[in-house]
Amino acid sequence: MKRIAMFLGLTALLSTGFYYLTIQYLPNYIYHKFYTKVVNSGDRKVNEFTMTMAPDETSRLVVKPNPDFAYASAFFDVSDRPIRITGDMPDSTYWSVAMYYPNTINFFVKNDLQFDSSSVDISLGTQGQNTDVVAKTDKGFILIRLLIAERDEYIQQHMLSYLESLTITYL
Amino acid sequence: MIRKLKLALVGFLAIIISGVIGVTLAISGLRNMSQETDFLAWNGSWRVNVDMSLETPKQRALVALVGLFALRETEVVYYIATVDRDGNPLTSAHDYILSGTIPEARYWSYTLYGEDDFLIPNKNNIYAYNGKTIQYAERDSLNPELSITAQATYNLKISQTPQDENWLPSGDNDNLALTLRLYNPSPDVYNNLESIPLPQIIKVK
Repeated sequence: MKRIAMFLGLTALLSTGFYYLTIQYLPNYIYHKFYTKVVNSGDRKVNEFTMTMAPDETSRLVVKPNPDFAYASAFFDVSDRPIRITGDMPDSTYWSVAMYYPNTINFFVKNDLQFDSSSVDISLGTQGQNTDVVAKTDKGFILIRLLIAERDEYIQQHMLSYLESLTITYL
Repeated sequence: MIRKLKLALVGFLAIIISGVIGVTLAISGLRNMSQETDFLAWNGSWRVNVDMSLETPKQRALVALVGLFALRETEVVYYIATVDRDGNPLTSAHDYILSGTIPEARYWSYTLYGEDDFLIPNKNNIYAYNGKTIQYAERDSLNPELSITAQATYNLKISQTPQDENWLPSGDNDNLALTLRLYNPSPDVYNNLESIPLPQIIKVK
């Protein structure tokens, strides 16, 4: 009887521990799973943008995708040197630059109206590096959203050319 | 030796059982939390994130689970409905209609998701409607753009079977989630998250 009680007590204690560990590290786990899937799905390099046109039913990497957007995304790594994001975006529609930590917190977002022009030019680094955006971690994710409200193929292709202008270089 | 082996086996068993219990409770708790929690507010059938700073582990876990890479509330307000006007879960087994007006935001859209939180497969590739793609009621056929005023109304239909306009195909899902995104909404939206006029989701069949 005593052994059963001890077993149950140990199980309850460990369950509580696993519960809090799950809550604490689930975002990092989901991010890592996403990272692994993306990296394994093709020739994807860190600090390099990849374009994604408007998601559809086959887009199953990230939950609740918005089919009205085209995306440029990149995993960043500024452990060696800070980086610079540049490119030309349209001046006629919504777009934004967002950055996320591996725990999925959105630590930076700036939209087209908040930029001085339709040119993107942002430097990103960690503490101690003199950059526009200072991240608390040296790795993370950059997501640039470009609104394409119409489902016209010509417009979509035209918009894609803007995303293709985006580059990441080392400072 | 046997006693040590027994102890090790019991310990191993306790860890496995605890792991299953702990992880299951955490995930199911988060799923339930998406219905009732401190950082969500309600506006009819719609729930809305009032704070996306994600400072607590539970907030972070919930958003990572149901809305990975969501933006801060300063940029986008996400309204999500998983129940109809009467509080019953949205499901493909029923048809729904929403009658709405234009929300005060730079860009807005309604997107329907299946129980797996992904876009619902359909022959017509229709997943969402926004201010440019939705058909407005009472629009001027000669000058359709001019007739879109702040007072313009629209009807959105959720159904398995094709509808005449503004049809969001619901596929075959026991649970549906409708997301209304408001990008760069007006200050009035932020001040009245729980009371801005949002369409009721009415079951019609």
